[in-house]
Amino acid sequence: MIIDAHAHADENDIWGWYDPPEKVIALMDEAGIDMAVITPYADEPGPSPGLENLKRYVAQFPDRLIGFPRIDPKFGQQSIEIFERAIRENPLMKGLKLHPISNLVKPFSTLCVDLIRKAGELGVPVFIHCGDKIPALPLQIARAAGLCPATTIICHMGGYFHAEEILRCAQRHSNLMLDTSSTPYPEIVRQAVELLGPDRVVFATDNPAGDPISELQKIRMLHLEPGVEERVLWKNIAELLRLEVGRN
Amino acid sequence: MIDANVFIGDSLYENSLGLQKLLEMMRQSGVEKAVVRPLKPPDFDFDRANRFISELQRTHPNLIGFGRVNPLLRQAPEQALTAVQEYDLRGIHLHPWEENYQINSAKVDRVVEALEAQVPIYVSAGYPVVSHPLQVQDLADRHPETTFIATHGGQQDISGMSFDDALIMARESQNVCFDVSGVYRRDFIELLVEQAGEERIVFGSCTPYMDMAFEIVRIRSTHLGLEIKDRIFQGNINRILGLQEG
Repeated sequence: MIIDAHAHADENDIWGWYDPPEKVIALMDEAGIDMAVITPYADEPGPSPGLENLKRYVAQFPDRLIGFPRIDPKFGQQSIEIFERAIRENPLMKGLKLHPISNLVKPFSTLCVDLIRKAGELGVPVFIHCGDKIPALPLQIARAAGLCPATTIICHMGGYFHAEEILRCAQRHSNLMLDTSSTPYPEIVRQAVELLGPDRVVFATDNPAGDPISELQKIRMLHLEPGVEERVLWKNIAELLRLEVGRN
Repeated sequence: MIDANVFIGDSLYENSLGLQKLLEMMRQSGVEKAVVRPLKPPDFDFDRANRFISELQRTHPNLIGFGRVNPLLRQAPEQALTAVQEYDLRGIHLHPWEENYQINSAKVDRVVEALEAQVPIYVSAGYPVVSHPLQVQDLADRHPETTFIATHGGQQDISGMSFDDALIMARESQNVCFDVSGVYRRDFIELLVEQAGEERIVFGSCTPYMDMAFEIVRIRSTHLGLEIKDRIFQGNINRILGLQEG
């Protein structure tokens, strides 16, 4: 069993990015990935029907895809209501995606914090894009984690320049989990497992932007203990999302 | 297979890489030759570091040496020329992030002009403020006779916001080649090959900052044809450096 904790599917006319679920699943099959969390490219509310596309995709492939609606926090209560409705009305939606580079709202701002806390109330995690730029820096996400201790936040391992910083942030905030996609440094994944423990690192690819085969190879080449690798490759995210998988 | 982007020696940043370790890394990864340049020396003396690279090149035929200079120093143009003409190094590496200058500044022009396009210039690219892809292009366009090789596909941005700028450079600046170290997006590697042309992409791992074995996986995992991959892994850098194949 392998579960990808972060992938994308959307057909977005505005940006010209067309990654329908069939394409994502073909790449999953090529790499041997069983399930994936997908999120659209478009924020909701917004001019592109990202959330509607997401609902369609997970309904089409309920055994393979799990949805994380991507919400723009700028609309305040409206954003919260859209998110809450998406989670309550659709059991295939199991988390929230925030992308500060596209929504331009700092993760620790009130608008974001309200949404993140709502996710905690609903019992689902929040995935926040974490990289090298304002407003998606590790310390900005860590501040949000500190303000929302009842919500689990998953984020990338700090991009090219902030790998050590995100590890320090995750050491300080036990509600921060890290995903393995995007980082160019296999050794940072190993350090994350060693510093945070095997329960707080989840395998992800950023498919179809990130390449599932090489992202999987990045984990395999670390030669983690089998039990640890299993936790990273699927058990951690399966438990976090309460997935009914791997129970023989 | 030739790794066009390896740093070696003592490092100010405590990521020193010794010769034996590099040779073992190459053996394990199936890399037959490596283009080596100095890590940032703890004493900041690039001329001494360049002599060390020259000696490595002389004693190890599977290592090809590049010099490194700091354009902020007045003697940088002379040092670059010395590295090429006296130490027989095959190119010059510029690392604007570690030496703290903008790649398109006039100080860099002095170095490029001194070399008179005798050798390629390898640029650590995609670093914020100092070597954004359009800054690299700005330099390259002022020196159309010089071949530049930009690391990291010209950009380092996991949100993908610099891809378009790097692709502009790929399309418009024919004197810029690219390695794809650290580029986690397979689609961007494939786009870069498409838009720059398969002859302008080389394999360079950026060891020891990045992982040689994983950087090979990155290229092998693309959907590019075997012939194109072969050019990336060796043919193109052989051509750029005027080396004999095989």
